[in-house]
Amino acid sequence: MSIPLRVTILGLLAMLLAICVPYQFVYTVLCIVQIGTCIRALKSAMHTQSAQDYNFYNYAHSMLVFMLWILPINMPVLVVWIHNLAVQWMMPISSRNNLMSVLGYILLVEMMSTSAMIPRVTSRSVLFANDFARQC
Amino acid sequence: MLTLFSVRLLTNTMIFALALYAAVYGVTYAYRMHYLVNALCFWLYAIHLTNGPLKQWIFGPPLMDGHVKKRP
Repeated sequence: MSIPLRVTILGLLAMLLAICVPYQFVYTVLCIVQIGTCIRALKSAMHTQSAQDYNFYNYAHSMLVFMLWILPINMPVLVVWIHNLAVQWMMPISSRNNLMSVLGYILLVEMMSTSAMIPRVTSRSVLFANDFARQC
Repeated sequence: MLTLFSVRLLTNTMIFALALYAAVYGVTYAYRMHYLVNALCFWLYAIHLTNGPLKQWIFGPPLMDGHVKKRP
């Protein structure tokens, strides 16, 4: 997916979240997206059999497990919201429409959906430490 | 400026603290866990960004394009 399309989808999601949809619904959608990311990562890893692809699959799978454990906390609110919609009881904007509550998940899931592995952090201090160790 | 050690330490500390919180307060204060994992996701996203355009801003310019100068 191109960057403008990704930004458009994220903006639309944020707007819906701010106006009418509770963040629990967005979280459920993110869980489904993460399941898709894991399936793609596993297919890619099984096809290429490379350590890098298996690393990414393990990372995606770990984050999915994190999110699935948090899902039962959000499900009751989602059930109540769907029930309210079914009986046409429109609630005013409340604390459930909070973008910051789910922004971290949105950013990370969106980053991982591009198959971007978390990088190994390097710094000048590491190079300095290597030089120092070599001299000793 | 961040170092490799401090980033690893902070990441491991956050994950272990989350596990400890889940074990002790996971049932009583369940909603708070959602926000703690949200904060962890923010941190992981920040680490993702270190490989992008923000790399030089956080870690400074690379030393001689990554090559270590040999001593005579």
